[in-house]
Amino acid sequence: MSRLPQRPDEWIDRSRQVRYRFEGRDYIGFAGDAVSSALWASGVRTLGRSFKYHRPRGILSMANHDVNVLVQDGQRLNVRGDVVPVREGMDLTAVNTWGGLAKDRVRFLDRLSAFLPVGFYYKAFYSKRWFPTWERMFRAITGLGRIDAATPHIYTHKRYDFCDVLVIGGGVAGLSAALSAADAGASVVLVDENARVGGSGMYQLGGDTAQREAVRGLIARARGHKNIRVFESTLAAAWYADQWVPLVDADKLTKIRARATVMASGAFEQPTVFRNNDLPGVMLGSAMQRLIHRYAVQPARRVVVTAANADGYRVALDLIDAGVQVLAVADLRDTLPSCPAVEKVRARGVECLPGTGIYEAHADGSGELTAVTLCKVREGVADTSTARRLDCDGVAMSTGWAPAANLLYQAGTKMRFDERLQQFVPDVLPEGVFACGRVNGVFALDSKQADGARAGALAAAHVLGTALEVDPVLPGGEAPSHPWPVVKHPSGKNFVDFDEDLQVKDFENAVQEGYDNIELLKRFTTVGMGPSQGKHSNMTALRILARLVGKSPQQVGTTTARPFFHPVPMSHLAGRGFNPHRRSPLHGRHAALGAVFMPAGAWERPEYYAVPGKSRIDSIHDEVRRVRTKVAVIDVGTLGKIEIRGPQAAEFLNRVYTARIDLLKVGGTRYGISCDETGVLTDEGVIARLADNVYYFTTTTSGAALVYREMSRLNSEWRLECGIINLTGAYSSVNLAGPDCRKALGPICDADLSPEAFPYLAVREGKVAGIPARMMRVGFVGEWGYEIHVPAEYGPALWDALMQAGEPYGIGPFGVEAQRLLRLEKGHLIVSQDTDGLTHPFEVSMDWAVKLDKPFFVGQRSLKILKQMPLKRKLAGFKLPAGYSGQVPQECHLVIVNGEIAGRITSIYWSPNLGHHIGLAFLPPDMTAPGTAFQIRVTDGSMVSAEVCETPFFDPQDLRQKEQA
Amino acid sequence: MSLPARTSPLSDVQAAHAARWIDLEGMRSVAAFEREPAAALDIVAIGDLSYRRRVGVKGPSAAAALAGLGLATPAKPNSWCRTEDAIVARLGITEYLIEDSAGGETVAKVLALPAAAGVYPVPRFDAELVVAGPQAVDLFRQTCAVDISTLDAAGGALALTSMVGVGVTVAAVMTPAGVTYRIWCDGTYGGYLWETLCEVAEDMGGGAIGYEAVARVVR
Repeated sequence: MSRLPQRPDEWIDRSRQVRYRFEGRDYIGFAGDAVSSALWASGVRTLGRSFKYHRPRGILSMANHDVNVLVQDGQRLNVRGDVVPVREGMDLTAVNTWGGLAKDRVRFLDRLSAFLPVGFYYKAFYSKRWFPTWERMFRAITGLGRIDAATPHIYTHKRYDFCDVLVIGGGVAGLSAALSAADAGASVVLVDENARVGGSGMYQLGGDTAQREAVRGLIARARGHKNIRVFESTLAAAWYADQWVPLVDADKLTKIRARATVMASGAFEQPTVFRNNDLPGVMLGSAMQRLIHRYAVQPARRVVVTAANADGYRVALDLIDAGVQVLAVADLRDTLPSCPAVEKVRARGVECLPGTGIYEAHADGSGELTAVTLCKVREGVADTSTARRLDCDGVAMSTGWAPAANLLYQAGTKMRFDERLQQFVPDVLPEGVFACGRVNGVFALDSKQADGARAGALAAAHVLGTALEVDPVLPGGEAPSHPWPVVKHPSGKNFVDFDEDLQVKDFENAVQEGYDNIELLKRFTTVGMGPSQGKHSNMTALRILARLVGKSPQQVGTTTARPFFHPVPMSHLAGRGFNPHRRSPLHGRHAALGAVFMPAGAWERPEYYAVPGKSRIDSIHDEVRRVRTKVAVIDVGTLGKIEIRGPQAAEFLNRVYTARIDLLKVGGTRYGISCDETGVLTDEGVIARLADNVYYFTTTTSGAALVYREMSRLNSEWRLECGIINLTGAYSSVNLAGPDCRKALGPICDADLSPEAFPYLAVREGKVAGIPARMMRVGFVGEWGYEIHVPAEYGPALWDALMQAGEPYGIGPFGVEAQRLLRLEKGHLIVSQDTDGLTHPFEVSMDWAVKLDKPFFVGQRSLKILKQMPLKRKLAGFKLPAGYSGQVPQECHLVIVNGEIAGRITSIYWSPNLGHHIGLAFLPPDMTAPGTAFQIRVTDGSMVSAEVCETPFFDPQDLRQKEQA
Repeated sequence: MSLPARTSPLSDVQAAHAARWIDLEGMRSVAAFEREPAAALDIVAIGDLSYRRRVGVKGPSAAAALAGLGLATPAKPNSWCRTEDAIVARLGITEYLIEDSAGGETVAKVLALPAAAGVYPVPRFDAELVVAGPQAVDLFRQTCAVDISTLDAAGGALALTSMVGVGVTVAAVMTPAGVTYRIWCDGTYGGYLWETLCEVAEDMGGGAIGYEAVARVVR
């Protein structure tokens, strides 16, 4: 192997040498070389080891389609040598070796292959006792590459893009499609996974320089077209509904949305199956052509071509032009067609052998190709009496193709197997999806151009809404693929799937064991499940299965090609993360006071305010103490805040809430709960009537968006004359609570705060610190309190004014944890913490809030039924003995009765005001009488005794809210 | 007691980076940031227009009520138009957003509308961002799944969509400096939206600009 003289359109830059290492040795390549081409040019032919048997492997496709050459580059693992450019200073090692590529210590596995057939693991490693041992062993010897946990985070962008027509594949058909669509006025994006567009038109030449000129012309026109953007080295990795296609390049993933897609994705050349068809030196004919024309590398010195189509002869001609001695073209077909390519090869003095195949390839001492045995072959069976050995260092396989139809399948295309072409082709395409070129069964250069122009014109017409009828382009006369490119050999090692080392006999055994349909066969043998995702194996496996079960390929069918059909770096999938979160207008005030934030739905809320020198729990207890003895303020701006206006606002709320909202007087508030149609408690809040036709109410923090959406939906059905306005983000709200709160608020509030003028559960509008405010006298924490709502842009000013006004009374903030403890002391439940997706109001003793005699409310019918049925559980208060010092139960710990689950804890805290633990728990109804003892199973399995008690735990007469304490 | 100063929903995330402040319509706003990229407006710049006064109106009689104030409303949803001292955006079949230009009084007139059936005022204290610069569309392409380049600035098109996971309303506005984009979102999401867009813009070589620079591209 050697570097050839300069080739027209070669990808390498001979003026720039690149020094790198591979397996501990120094090499030199050129800028633009792929790792594989640089090594091959340096005479290195063994570039990797196979996954299972650790057989030596060389170049197979010289494209991004197989994983024979996977290397590790420092912290970058599984670098695809066939396509990744070699760079200065690279220090490369082959993956999946023990002790290096040449002296891989587990290469002996190849000799044990008879004992390691497909599926052996299912039969050998099922023992539960031994499984951990096997698991450790397999984890140690399998896996590709070594992860360095210290690898820095690779930062990738996410990006969206848009176009009228997306053309996938920049070969002759794709270029023609892009130009056709762009000429019609569509904006076009043309993507190609290769470093340069042009496709096979630039390397499958067969000595035809006119073809290259024609393709150059297409490329130049596409690059210069104002309506075309060309994305090279970019893989269209999947196809999603509504024409979303992820485009993967070296740096990022772009989600492109097209209005039409043209699939010009071409075809994957398929390996011929014969014994030792994986030796280094045996490669696809198209791989040899890529080496020659892209990288100016001579693939071998003495080559045998195994062919079954005109492409094989074009390979032979390109090899001859590259100075390679072509020993013979062994054609699997019984007779050679009369075509120019065959005649040209014959004219160059090459022996062309019809009905002939490679029976076996032979390796030298290092495991690389040194000779082949040719035999007459009929229906895959070799006549060994005709055996003939040819010494060679290269075999070009060119016996057929499989369409790169993965994205067509994902788009929902119905494919059919064309017997004449021996290929699956699109039968019924989805709307807005078009196909052309080889994936469409069209292989000849002129035909691909015509087919691409047709598809591009149709795609543009689809986008632009114009009518267009174009005749289909008919495939050529020759079948590009042989129906049975398989040569049997009694000693096997005739590989079908190079990723997984699957041989023909593996399929025969699988079918014999009953895995006789394509889905079962795939899972049992793992064919197509390696990193190549079946690009070189699925079609042959399908042919083998069809022959074994006596069906046609059409009847056997194909497997699903899930997105992504090609491996994509995890860094690309991660990208920049978007995690939207809401912050109250008071966020900065909380941060300045040392708040420790916690997530609450989409919000960041202060869990507590850290006090220097104090623990979390002591800081929380300080806040609790302040609420009970002085005055404190909490940000409740995260509550949902909704206003309803209109003459039928009362009727609307009457239908949504279980209570009689219509009876609520102006200036009053009422606690309300809502249910769904099954009677399940969905939300709660305080409803205030500001005017005859104006209501303002709060919802839970986590329920705000859902409540607003559901109310909007309901009124689109009911069509009541009212408007629903979501003010959650527009208002800032605080709750001022504690025995001194009225004294603190009075000086800065223009409303009369006396109990007579502003009684418990009243709502008033006035000004606080000059800010227009809505004030409600409610108390979730069981103290005298005011919930004050102001426009969001005045929230910080309100907070500052309250803190200043409360300073003489020892005001301070309190957070979510203190509030939860305080409300528990009052026995108040929290919807979604003390209720679940099945809880109805009667289970939580909220019968008083449900007015079943109303004409209608959501969930009424179900609640009427539930009311007639015995309760299965009930929420009850409980306490642990005073002085209890053992393991404390936690929320969701289970209540156990006679060894069975009887209930669970929903809330539990140690109450500094009561001096013992209090909580709420779901219990069987017959266990909810005060004084009933029960057992809670805690994390370590031990039992803790608890006792049911009345709620509220604290201030049971609610005297503190009535100024009578 | 007089009304205190208004606070921008972006105040918390901007304060640590502010070099100079300015009072705009009673709201303390950043006049210039400490590390404001000099070439931000030549690449992509993010500015804050939250100080502008705005109000919403919804309901079947909303359009008639606005017409009664002499305000023209866009003929179709998802579009906006400019009046003498305000812009009027139509967000849905019967929902409108009115925003004053500097010194405008239209919002006050709308807020003073008498209560009427089918007219429901919507208090709005949005965060409002402006994205300017030749690479503004590129910023959207990293943060928004809608092709913002198709928004017709001359035709007053609006997009109600999502950016970085936040629900936003986007308008393309033609200015002497080229097309700029106004983004409105719930004020409580404003801090997150601002920080995220600034991070993307900084990656592109642009970044946040204060009002002194914003004034060059916004009227």
